[in-house]
Amino acid sequence: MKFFSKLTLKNKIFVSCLGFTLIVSVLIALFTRALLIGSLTGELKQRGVGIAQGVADGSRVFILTRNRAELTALAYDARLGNRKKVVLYLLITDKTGEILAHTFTTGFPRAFAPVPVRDTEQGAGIQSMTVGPHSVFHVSVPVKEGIYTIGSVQIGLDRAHIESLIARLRLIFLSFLSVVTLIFFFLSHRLALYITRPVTSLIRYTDTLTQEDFRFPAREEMDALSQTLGKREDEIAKLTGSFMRMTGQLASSTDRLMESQKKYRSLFQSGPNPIFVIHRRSFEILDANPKAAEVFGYDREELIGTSLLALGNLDDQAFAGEYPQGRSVVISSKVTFFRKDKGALFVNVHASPAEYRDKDVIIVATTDITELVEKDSQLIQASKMTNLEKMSAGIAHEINQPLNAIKMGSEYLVMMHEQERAVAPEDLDMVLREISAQVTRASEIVGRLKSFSRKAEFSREVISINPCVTAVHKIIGRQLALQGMALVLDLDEAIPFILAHNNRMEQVIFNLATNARDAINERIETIGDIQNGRIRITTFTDRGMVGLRVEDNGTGIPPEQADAIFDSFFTTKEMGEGLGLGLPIVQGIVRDYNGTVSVDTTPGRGAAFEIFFPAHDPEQEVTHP
Amino acid sequence: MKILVIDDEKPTLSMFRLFLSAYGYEVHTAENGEQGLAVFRECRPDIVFTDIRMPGMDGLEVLRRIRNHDAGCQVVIITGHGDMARALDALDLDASDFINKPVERQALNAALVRAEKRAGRTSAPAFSMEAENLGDTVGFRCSGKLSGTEEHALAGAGDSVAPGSSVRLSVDDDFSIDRQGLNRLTEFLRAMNEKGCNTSITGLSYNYLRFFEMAGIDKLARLEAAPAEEPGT
Repeated sequence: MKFFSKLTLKNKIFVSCLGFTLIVSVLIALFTRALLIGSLTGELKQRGVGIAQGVADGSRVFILTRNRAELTALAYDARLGNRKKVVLYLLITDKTGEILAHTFTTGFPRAFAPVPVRDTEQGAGIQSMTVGPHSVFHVSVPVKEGIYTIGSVQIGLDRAHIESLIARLRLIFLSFLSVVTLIFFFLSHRLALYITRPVTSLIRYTDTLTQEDFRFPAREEMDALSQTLGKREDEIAKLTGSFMRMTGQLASSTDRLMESQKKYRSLFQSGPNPIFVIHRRSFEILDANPKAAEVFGYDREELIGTSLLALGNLDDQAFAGEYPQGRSVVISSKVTFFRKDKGALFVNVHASPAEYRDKDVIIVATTDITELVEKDSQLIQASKMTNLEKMSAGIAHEINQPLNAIKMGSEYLVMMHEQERAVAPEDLDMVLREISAQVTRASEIVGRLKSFSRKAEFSREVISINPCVTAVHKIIGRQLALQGMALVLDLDEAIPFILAHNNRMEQVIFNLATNARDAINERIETIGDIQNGRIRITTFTDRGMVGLRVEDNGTGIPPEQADAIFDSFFTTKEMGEGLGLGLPIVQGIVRDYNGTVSVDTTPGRGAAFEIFFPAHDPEQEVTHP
Repeated sequence: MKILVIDDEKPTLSMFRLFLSAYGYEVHTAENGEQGLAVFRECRPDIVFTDIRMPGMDGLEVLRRIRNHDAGCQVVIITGHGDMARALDALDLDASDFINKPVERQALNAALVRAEKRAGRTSAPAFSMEAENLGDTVGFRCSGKLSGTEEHALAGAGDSVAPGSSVRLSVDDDFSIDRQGLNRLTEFLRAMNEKGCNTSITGLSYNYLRFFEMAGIDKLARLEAAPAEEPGT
């Protein structure tokens, strides 16, 4: 079996066909031989019995008369013609077994004893025996007269005759089988070739393809293949067709693969964003695109081998998260990275895991958002300035108050001096103190405005939210009071610190408070509900988060607008009154500090904006300085 | 004379008190509108100074309520600098005068002098415009309250002026104006400008002058103030 499995397909087919043919031939030969020999022998015996019977019928009278001459003539007659070949000898006995006639011409063979006549009913008896050199079937047939057996006719049938007949038949048969086998040999060879030749071509074609390139089909081999196949339409042809189609598909998908590789390579090489290939565990940079080198000011060679973490304020925990299949994950946004010349950049970091030269890597795409961050802060600044501008009348009023006292006080002194009138010491004291106090007050207002309008630094500070609320209260509390609105503060004195900027937080609170004011004014103007406006700013701690709530009893937000209020340029105010940037900026600032903002509102009853920031953990500061 | 000052700013009240006491007035102060009205009912001042912007009841509301009680009281509105809209609101409510914050001594003096002169008059006299012969210049003496209904007087006066001549409107202490009146006056002055007339307004109180400047009248006519007087008894 092992030998067989080692054979080529062609030889397998050949050997199988041939073996099968041989086995069938041998089986047929054996079967025929058994059948032929049996039936031929039977036939011969029948014929022998028939001849003996005929002789017995003719010899009845002569046996009774014991006419030996007639009997001998009869015996010889029986061997006439072609019977001579079959009937080797014939002898006639009487009932005692005495031979009355026989055909032995060369003397009665020795050791030949005529079979005694058995007075039986069954007729002929046949036994196999050897007479001289001959092997015979000895047939004895009783001769009957009435019910009495009067003698017997015994003949020897020559088995050599049958044997020669069988031998001849066997020869014919064997030659026939040989011819059949030869034909089968030839046919199976052809068949094997027929089946295996295209397969061999196919193998050669495949080998060539594999050795060379899928994309350039081996023309020569393909021609050879189609020639081999000719106009065949059988399974082999179909297999070959399928195979050709498959290689065609393979070639085109290889093409596509190359194309996409090329595409990705060119994306990597000429992409507008810095891309790094880093080792998944060591964060070592394995490859970086030219843009990365350009943006970060390093040579590509300098970048390769260094850790990505050394380039910016990233920690290894950032990459520890889950990566959904085939998706890129935002690792961190607005991360500070440093150029070679120590210049700071702000980047968004995206990562997706990949295989790269058999290594587990992360493809890190960074987007330089420095300009965006700057634009952002400019926008925030601009919006703040717009707010200040809108408040300018209120601010002027506010500053006017101390100025008025100072002006009147000083003018009073001037007047008294001009008229040379004495100023009572307590009046003088009061005026001078008041002037000084009012100057302080005015400069405080100016200082507050200055700090409010100052552009925020990029690095965050550890701040408490409460002073921001009080600062906003100082800026607009009085103006709200002048409009008949109460600004109520409810501050949690034990509130944790957060990482943010004071004046941006002030801006958030300010925006929310002025929105609340507008909502109250709108309620009074449109609904005609003139109950007093109330704005309540609460700070609180909730499950480790620092919360800030700004509630008003203004007009509220219709449900269909609740989703849109954080969209840029969405405004319900009249043209020219609001840009629709207030809440988007609030949201932008809050998200910058990893916070969330949400609104809960009942139309006609008011709205409550809630902001949550993660509390600043001083421990973290120690572990990640 | 009794004066009531209503302002939500304590320092301002203190300064008013000093000033007005030095002038010899009997000074009452209140820190908000409600309190002011209570003091007003109690001591019936001749002159009331009230801040226009106050939490709760504002100056306009105080003015409206005082006018309901007492038409003759002189109510001087203290306005923020450049707060034109509120100043007009106050004029429509028949404010006697207004004074800008920060309060200057001269402005205060002018307001006091004017208020003293007008004190006790129950209602503003009707507007009158009398032609006056001043040689080359066409003169008109204006008195009383110039409101929107007086357009005939102004239009008639305008028609009588020959193109290219000099026009002088002189106003007296009884002169006052409201929003519509200001519009009429502006139209009149424009018409004069179109005729090529050189227009001036004289005799304006210190605060009206400031107010006219604020309203842009100074672009249409030359404004001259009345001579300054010292208040006091």
